[in-house]
Amino acid sequence: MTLIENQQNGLTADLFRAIEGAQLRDISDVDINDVINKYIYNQIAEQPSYVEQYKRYLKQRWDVYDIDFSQDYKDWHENMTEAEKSSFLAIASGFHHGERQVEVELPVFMLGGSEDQKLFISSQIEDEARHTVFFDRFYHEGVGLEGDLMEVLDQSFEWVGETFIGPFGLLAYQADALLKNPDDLKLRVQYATNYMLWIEGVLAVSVMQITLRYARQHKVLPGYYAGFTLTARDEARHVQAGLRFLTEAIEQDPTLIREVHDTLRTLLLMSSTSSQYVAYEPIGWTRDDVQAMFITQLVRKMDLIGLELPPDLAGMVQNISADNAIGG
Amino acid sequence: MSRVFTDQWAADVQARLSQGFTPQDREGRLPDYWEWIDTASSTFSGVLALGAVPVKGDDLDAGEFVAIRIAAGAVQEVRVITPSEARDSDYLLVGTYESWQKFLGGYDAARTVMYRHLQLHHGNLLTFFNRVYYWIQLLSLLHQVPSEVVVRETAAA
Repeated sequence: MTLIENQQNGLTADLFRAIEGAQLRDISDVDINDVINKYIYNQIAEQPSYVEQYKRYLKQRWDVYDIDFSQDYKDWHENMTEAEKSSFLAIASGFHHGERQVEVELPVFMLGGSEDQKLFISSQIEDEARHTVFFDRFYHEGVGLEGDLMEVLDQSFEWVGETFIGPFGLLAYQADALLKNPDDLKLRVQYATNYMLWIEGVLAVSVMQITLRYARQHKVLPGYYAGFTLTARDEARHVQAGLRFLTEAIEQDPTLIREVHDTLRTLLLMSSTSSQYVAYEPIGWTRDDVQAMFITQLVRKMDLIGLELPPDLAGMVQNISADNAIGG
Repeated sequence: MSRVFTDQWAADVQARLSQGFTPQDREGRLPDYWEWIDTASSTFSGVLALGAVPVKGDDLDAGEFVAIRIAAGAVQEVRVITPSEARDSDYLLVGTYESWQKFLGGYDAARTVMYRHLQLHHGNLLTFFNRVYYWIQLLSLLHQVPSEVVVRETAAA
């Protein structure tokens, strides 16, 4: 992406520098909308190399244990309404589990990568582990759950509808299949379509916007805002590298487009229903807002890998359920 | 001797699964979700096999199996099968005896899949997930059937 295109996207040089170099102490000044809708697309068309992304990782790595959740605890127990907390948990808990899930399922994808890709994925695994700890600390120290990591996950699962099993259950089983055939490019493309395009490129960035915009506008949960905004910046690297992988794989073998479409077909089918109603209004969103955001993110990511949605998938996109999409 | 899938248990499971999802089963979840499941199940005819092995990754010959034969979403038969028959099933979900003990003891079916306590040994991954909520709810019905999983000391070690 050229400078002119960046500016058209609203990403000025000053804004880019502010996000790119932000540390934990000043990340609260960054608007999550700028990270998700502008920064993440910076230079994405130029497809930064895996080594360049690894260098960015080294500069942007943050210490999850430096976050202070004391104000989050106070906000959670004194300043947020029950409706706000219920909506927040219904949306955020999916990624409490999701971060742990991607941390566990990613190593197998590294096995079949190029040497440069392995280098970058090693950093991505560390990112995901840190994000897992971030959520664990938030649920412990902000919300007030007790127990070890898995016990806290078990407690937050009550806010995760079983429909969340869709993309993350699929990822677990894809990882099993890859473990048997780590170099199978079809399996790798299916895996990357789920993980990097859908889970990170659509699900994650959408969930981030919902809860982070609420926290920013209501001036609550500063620890959550700081940590999850830094997480969003990490995800930008992951999405960019994942889309690079998909683009190169499709260039190498255009028949792999079918794997992308077939995987998306399954993901969209799983996302066309919901088992629980999720109230977005208490935290300032509408169902139409959320659905539109998912559709926008998906179409944008497909555009970046140079693929159009075939008619049947385009029709399925319109049936994405806002509840299911965030794991409600 | 480890036993998960006895003939009596299979008969009890068949009696329960053949009833389908009752209004009580459907309580607490949106109608749209059940419509999705009804549609997904109605287009499936084949065999879902369940398997138990002593240790994760064990050869199937070391395990025991049960087949759930389904026709257009209706469970027709549940019976104990051989490893050879299990290999011929459309989908085979395999777990260790300990996984089955935990699951049949009431552990959540969604987490059982998501945390791969049961693994898909074979079968098309994407078509399996095209019906994933059906499989989850079908597995959940097993919680309603009394069972007693015996775990060998060697398997538990």
